Amino acid sequence: MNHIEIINLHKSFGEKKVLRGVNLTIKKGETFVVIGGSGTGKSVLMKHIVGLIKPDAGDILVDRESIVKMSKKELLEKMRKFAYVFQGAALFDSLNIRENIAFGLRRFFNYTEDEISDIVKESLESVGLFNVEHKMPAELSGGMKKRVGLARAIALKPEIILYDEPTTGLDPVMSDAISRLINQISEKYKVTSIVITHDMKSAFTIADRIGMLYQGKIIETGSVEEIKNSPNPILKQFIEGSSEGPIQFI
Amino acid sequence: MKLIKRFLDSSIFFLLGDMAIFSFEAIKNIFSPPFEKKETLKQMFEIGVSSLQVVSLTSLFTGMVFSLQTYLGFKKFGAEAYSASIMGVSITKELVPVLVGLMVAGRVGASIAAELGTMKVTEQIDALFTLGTDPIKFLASPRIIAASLMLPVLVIYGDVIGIIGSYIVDVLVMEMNPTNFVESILSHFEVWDIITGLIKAVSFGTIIASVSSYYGMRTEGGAEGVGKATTFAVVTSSVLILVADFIWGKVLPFSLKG
Repeated sequence: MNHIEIINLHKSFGEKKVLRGVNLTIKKGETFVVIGGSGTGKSVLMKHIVGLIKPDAGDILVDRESIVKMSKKELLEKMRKFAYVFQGAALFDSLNIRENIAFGLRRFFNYTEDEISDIVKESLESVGLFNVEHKMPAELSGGMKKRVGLARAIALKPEIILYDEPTTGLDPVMSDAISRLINQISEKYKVTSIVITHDMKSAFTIADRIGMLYQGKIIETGSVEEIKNSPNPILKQFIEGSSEGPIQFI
Repeated sequence: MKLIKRFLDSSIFFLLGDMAIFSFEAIKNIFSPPFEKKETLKQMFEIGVSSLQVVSLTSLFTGMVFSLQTYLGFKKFGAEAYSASIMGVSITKELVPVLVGLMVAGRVGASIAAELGTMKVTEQIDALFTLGTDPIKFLASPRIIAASLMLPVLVIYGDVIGIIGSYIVDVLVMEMNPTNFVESILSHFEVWDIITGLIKAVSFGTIIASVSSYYGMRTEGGAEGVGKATTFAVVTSSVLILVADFIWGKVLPFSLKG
């Protein structure tokens, strides 16, 4: 069953055309990874899915409801189904870790303070963090912040989790730990996940399917094996990480 | 057509229009639940209590220097006994509201724009949205309530300090008779002067908070963007305060005594 459908999405910023007709279907419960070079519009695509950016043309359906046509109020209600893990974690500087995770719980649900404490503790433990509830975000390392971002996402028991470059800026060991964590979360909570990354090792670890965004369009989708064996020279160059090939860079 | 559209998009009309729509939405959100009481109280403390020091110094020295100049000016005509009579009116109606407004625009406006600008570039404002929270309602509306409530309080406080400054110069330095000073101040003073200052203060508070929140939440780029947002917030708030002061001066009657 299709969970998210992106139909002919176009977006420009000034003269720059970022998305030029993106079409994509994501099934319920799958982990779909969008790969593509820096500045190709992966984050822009992701922000369209939660309504943070409005497209110039095209539509996005979540459970067959159009995100694009929703009012701000309807969209904020719809956010109950989503969790978004930001590239830099986007933890609120002025709140401690407990309050960061409790923020969404207070907005969406009527939990008691004891229940909130239990959920916060459980969420932090499931990402491998203990006794950090009273620390401020500035006291944590980059990897720990990313894990708190994950904890904040899973605490809400969402149906869809969007991950924006979850392994960027981390050492290889921590990258692998985060990738495994994403797999565990997908299996445990049966969520639909969309991950954008240019870390191919991580992409192959977590993906059920992969799609490549290039020059504003999804040029190919397929399973991990299909993508690995694709004859498409653009895809091949990107996977191999070679500077020689059809992908232009400055 | 494209050129006209580009001109309008980059012109001051677009900026003012966008700012007006933003402010209208933020003010409208004040009246719809959920009410962000905790955030509002926090902002009232930030804007009110934390500004006391700068308001005290500004009002004290403004009262002192204005008294000194007026006393010396009136002395040329042998009318120094009447110099205090214009102090009450000018301090409460004009000097303190405008100077407090400008000082708070510098201190609080810069702080709001920098804080919200940093939140914008680190995606914390996007995070608020994805956690089901309207960022304008959560961030801008409480700051507008807090600033429009605390500015009048600061102005009343500034009025008292300004008149104390005036007393220090006239009575303690220029050796004016204290009774004459008090009688002179009260002779041309009416409660409407204070009310005029308070009406201005409410509008200045609204201007500072909405303009600074606007620039903060529209910040683009990294640290440079935050710097620009802060500068624009302070400059625009200050200019709009002076424009609003003139408009109030024309619209409000000078006296209610006919």
